[in-house]
Amino acid sequence: MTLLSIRNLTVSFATSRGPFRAVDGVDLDVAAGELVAIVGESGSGKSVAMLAVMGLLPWTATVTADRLMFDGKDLAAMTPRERRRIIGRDLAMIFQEPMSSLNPCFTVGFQIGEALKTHLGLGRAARRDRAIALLNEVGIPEPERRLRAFPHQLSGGMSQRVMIAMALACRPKLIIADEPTTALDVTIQAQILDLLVRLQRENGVGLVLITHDMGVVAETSQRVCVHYAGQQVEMQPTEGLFRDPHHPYTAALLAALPERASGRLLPSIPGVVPGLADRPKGCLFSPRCRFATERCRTVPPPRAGAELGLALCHTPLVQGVPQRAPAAA
Amino acid sequence: MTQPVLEAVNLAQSYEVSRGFLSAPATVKAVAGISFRLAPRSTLAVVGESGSGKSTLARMLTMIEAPGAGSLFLNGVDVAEADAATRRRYRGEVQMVFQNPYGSLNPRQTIGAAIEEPLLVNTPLPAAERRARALDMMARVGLRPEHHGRYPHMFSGGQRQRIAIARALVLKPKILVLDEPVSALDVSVRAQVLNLLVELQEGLGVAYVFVSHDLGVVRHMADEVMVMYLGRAVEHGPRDAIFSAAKHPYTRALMSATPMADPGAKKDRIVLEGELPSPFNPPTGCPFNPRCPLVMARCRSEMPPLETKAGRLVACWAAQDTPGPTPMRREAAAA
Repeated sequence: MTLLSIRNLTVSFATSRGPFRAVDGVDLDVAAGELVAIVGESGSGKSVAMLAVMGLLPWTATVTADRLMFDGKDLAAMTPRERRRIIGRDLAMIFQEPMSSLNPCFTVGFQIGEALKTHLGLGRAARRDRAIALLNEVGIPEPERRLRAFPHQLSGGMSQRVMIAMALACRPKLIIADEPTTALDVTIQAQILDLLVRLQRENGVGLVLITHDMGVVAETSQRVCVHYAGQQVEMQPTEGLFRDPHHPYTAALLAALPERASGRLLPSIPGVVPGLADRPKGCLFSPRCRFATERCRTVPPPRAGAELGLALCHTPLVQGVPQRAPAAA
Repeated sequence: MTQPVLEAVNLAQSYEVSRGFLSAPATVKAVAGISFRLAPRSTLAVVGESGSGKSTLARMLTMIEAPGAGSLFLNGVDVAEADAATRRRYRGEVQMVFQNPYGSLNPRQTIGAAIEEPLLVNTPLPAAERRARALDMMARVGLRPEHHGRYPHMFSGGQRQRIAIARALVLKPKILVLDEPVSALDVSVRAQVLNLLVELQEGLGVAYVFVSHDLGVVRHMADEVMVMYLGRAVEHGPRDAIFSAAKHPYTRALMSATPMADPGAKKDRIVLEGELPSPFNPPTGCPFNPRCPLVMARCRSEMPPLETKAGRLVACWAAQDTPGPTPMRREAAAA
C-alpha cells in the first residue's frame, strides 16, 4: 500500500534576486515497510522536499504539487489544523543534528511526553510509562533515570536515540529521517542505522532516509532517489543503482568515492553545483557532465523510462555507455 | 628508514578540568603516550572517533600546545630543547589545515591577505614578493589570480578548503597536519580536494599527518595508519597490513561499521555496544575492554603493551601473531 505519494513537487523561495527553485518536479512513492533513500549533495533540495511534505517550511516558500497524498489524504488541500493532527502522529521526522534539535530547557521525558499528550491525550502516569518503554526500545540504558536528564547531559548518540524515541512516540506510519547519523561517530552510526532498520522491518513503518553518504544508502535502503540541484535525476532499486547507474551524475558520484577508486587520483567531477545566478539553460548537470552535447546545454532533458532508472538525461548510460546517438549539434 | 622529518616519542597531554565548586579538579588524559616516525613525502593517517585524542595530538604536533610529556623531534632535533629562534623557524615547517573551512578563514580578510599573512609574520619578504608567492600558491591549488582580492564568503566549501591549504603551504613546510580536511565537503568536491592533496605531495614533497575518521579516505591517502582509542594507539602499521588483516578488535569493528558503497558486499558486521568511556574515568586495564567482543580476564586488569605482531604494532592481549585478521567470537555465534 502506498503511504506517501508525491507527483511533481516544486518548492521555490522568494529571494531578493527573484524566485529560486530549490525543488523542481520531484516524484516519490513510499509504501509501508519500505526504506527509500534520497541522496544528493548539499543544495540538492533533498531536505527541502521532505520539509515541504511535513509543512515545516517558512512563509517565503511556495509549495506546489500535482499530488501530495499521505495515507489516502491530500496534504495540500488540508487546513493547517488538520495537517497538525497528522504530523507528529502518523508522519514523523528525525532531524539532522540531535544536539541542536532538542530543546535544551526541558527534560527528555517532557519532550517525549509532549507528542503523547497532544496527539494521544495520555495522562501523566501513562505518558511516563510510554516514555520509559520508548527509551527502552531505542536502547537507552536506565530509562527511568534518563527521563529526568536534560539534552546537554546526553552524548550525541544518546540524543539521536531520544530523537528517534520522539518520532516513534505515536507509532507513526512513515518516518522521514534527515541525515540521522551525519553528526555521529562510525561505531555509533552503525548502532543507530541498525536501530532504524530494525524498527522499519519489525513495525512495518515506511522510512525515507535523507543522506549524502553512499555507503549508508548501500547498506540500508531498498530504493534510491538521486537529487541534483533540486531535480530528481535518477530513481532505481539500490542494487541496480550501484551496479549500473543510468544518469551520468550518479555514475560520476559513485566513481568519485575513494573506496571504489583504483588509481592514485580519483575521477572527480569538475566544477560545483549551480547556484541561483548560474543555472544552465538545458540540463542542469551539463556543465559538469563528460558526456554533454550541444543539445544537453540548450534543451532540458526528458525523463527516461523505468528501465533506465527514470534518468533525467538526453543520453542515459547503460554500463557506462551513453544510449541514443546524440543529435548532431 | 630514511631520517624521519618528524618523530614523536611518548607524546602525552592531560588537562585539568574543574568539576564545580566543591569537588577537586579532575584530570583528563587526552593523549597518553603516542610515538611515531614520519618519513619525508609520506602520509600517516590518524584514525579515531571523537574523544580519541586525535585533535589534541594534532595540536601538539603543530606546536600550538607544548606536550605535557614526551618529546617531539623535527629533523632529528628535540623541539623542547631548541632555543626560541629555532623553535620559531620550526613552527613554519609544520603547518595545519583545519576541519571546517567556514570557521577557519577570517570573513573580513581577503583571501590574498590570508595567504600572505604567514609570510608577513615569518619572513622578511617585501610586499611584492609576498604577493607573487601567494599568487603562485593559489595557482597550485587551482585558484585564479582574480580571487586574490575576494572575501571568503564568495567561495564554496571546496574552494575555501583550497584557500586553507594554500595558506598552510605558502611557507613551504615539510609537514602538513590535516585535521579532517574533507569531512565537511560533498562527495564530488571531496574527490577534487583529495586529488589536489595527492598532487601537492608529489609536487612539493610534503609529508602529511592526516587526521580522519573516514576509513575510505584513509585507505586512499595513507601510507601508514595509526588507530587511536581513548588517547592511545591501539594499532599502528602499514596501510595494506591493517586494511587487509586488522589485528585489534577495535580496528576490525571500526572497519566493519563503516558503510560500504556496495550493496552486494557480504560483510561480517561487528556492532559495538555502548559508547566511548568517559576520559575522566577510563576503565582499568585495556581502555577498550568494556566494549570488546574478545574481552578476557587479563584485559580488565592489565594494560596491553603496543608490540609488534604480524608486521604492525598492536596493543591487545587477544591479537595473534599469525597472518589474517583476529578472529571475532561474536561472528561465530551469529553465523
